[in-house]
Order: sequence, then structure tokens, then C-alpha cells
Amino acid sequence: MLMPPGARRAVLTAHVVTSVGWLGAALAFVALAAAAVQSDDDATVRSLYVAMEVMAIAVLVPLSLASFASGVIQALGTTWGLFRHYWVIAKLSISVVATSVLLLYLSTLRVLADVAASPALADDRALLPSSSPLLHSTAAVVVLVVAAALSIYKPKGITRRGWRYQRQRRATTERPITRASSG
Amino acid sequence: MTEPYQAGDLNEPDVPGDVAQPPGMPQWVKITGVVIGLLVVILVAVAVLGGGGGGHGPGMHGGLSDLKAQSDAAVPRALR
Repeated sequence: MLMPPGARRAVLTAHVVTSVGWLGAALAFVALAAAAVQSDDDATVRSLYVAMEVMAIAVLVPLSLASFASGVIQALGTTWGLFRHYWVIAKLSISVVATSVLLLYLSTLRVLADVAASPALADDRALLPSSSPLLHSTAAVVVLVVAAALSIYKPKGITRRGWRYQRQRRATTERPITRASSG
Repeated sequence: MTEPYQAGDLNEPDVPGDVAQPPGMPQWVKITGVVIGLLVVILVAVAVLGGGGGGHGPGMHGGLSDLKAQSDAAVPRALR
């Protein structure tokens, strides 16, 4: 069912805000992860890993879920559809994979934050820093930039489902006009 | 003469001319599929040859294999 224009604008606004926010948060996470890898100060490194876990739970996860949900609603509520255009499918896949990896990666971040915050492991400097968060967040930024580019360029290509929908839509939209112009 | 279909003002897709046959998969989709397929094969090969496994979690990257056990034995965090 198609949404009315006001609702479409509201959902589109929510989708753009959450998606761009997710990308910005991922970039900020890269900065924290890079600083953790480069820093020589033990306290700084430990505090950065604790901050990364907080940031992932409080910012990245909510934004990723909100971006995914608003994207699905936007697709289903407009003529774009969820499986009619290849670029929409590609963007949906990126969103699903990125969100899934993020959710799975929370356990790793929790372990790193535990190690960083634990006085019992204060002397075990070999465990930290880990390059794993930097690797993951950099990959996230790359795929999110690709998703943003897909939204802007919208490369052509419709699926069979999209082709059938467009034929159906043309038939319903042209019929009254044809009658009016011929009559 | 019919009026051409006008796309809406809300970023709606253009509707191309009526085509009798369903369109094939575009080139960019094929190329992307091949690249992703190769990356998956490489990642699987690295995981198998590197003795990895056990899903996406601690120990998969960055030499974190012993972190979980050490973390579990650690003092509970005040922040949790």
C-alpha cells in the first residue's frame, strides 16, 4: 500500500537522518579505534575500548536498526518496492549484512571492554590494543558509503517483479488518459 | 496520443516504455555479484586454512582467541 505524500516525506527524512547518522557514528568509531591502536598510553587505550562498547550499544545499534526499519517502510510504502529494483535490493543487502555483523560483533567489543576495564588484567598489555575494531569499523564505513552512493545514483535495472509491477501500473494509469484524449 | 507517465515529486522511479520481455540483469549487478562471490570464497578459504571457525565472534580477527576466557575470569566491570 502506497503512503500519502506527507508520510512518505516523514519516513524519507527519518531514513536519511538515521542512515547519515549511522555513517557519521561509524566514522567516529574509526577515530576511536585508530587512536586506540596508535596510542602508547595504557590508560588512554583502555578508556577507548570501554568507550567503543558504549558507543556501539548506545549509538551504532539504534541507528542501524532505525535506518533498516525506515528503509524497509520507505520501500514498501512507495512505488520503489523492496524487490523491484536491483539497487534497492543491493542497499537492503548491505543494511542487513552490516547490521548483522554489528550485532554479532558486540560480543567481541564486550570482551575487549572487559579486558580494558578489568584491574585483574592491568598488567597484560599484550592483549590490547587490538586492531579488530579498526578493521570492522573501516569496512562498515566503506559499505555505508556504497549504500549512500546507491541511494543517490540509483543505477538502472529492474527485476522481473519490478517489470511486472510497472506494466500493471502503466496499464492502470494510462487507461483513463487514453479515453479522455481519444474522446 | 497518450500522455507520458510523470514521475512523482518524491523521488519516485521513472517508468520506462512498455517492454514486452522482462529485462535482463544489468551489467553492474553481474560484476558486483562476481566480486562478492570471490570475496566470500577467499574469506571461507582463509577461515578453513587458518583454522578459524565458530562464527563471527571473539577470536575471529586480531588475535583475540584467549580474550574471552581471560575476560570471564576478570573482576566484574563497574560500568555494566
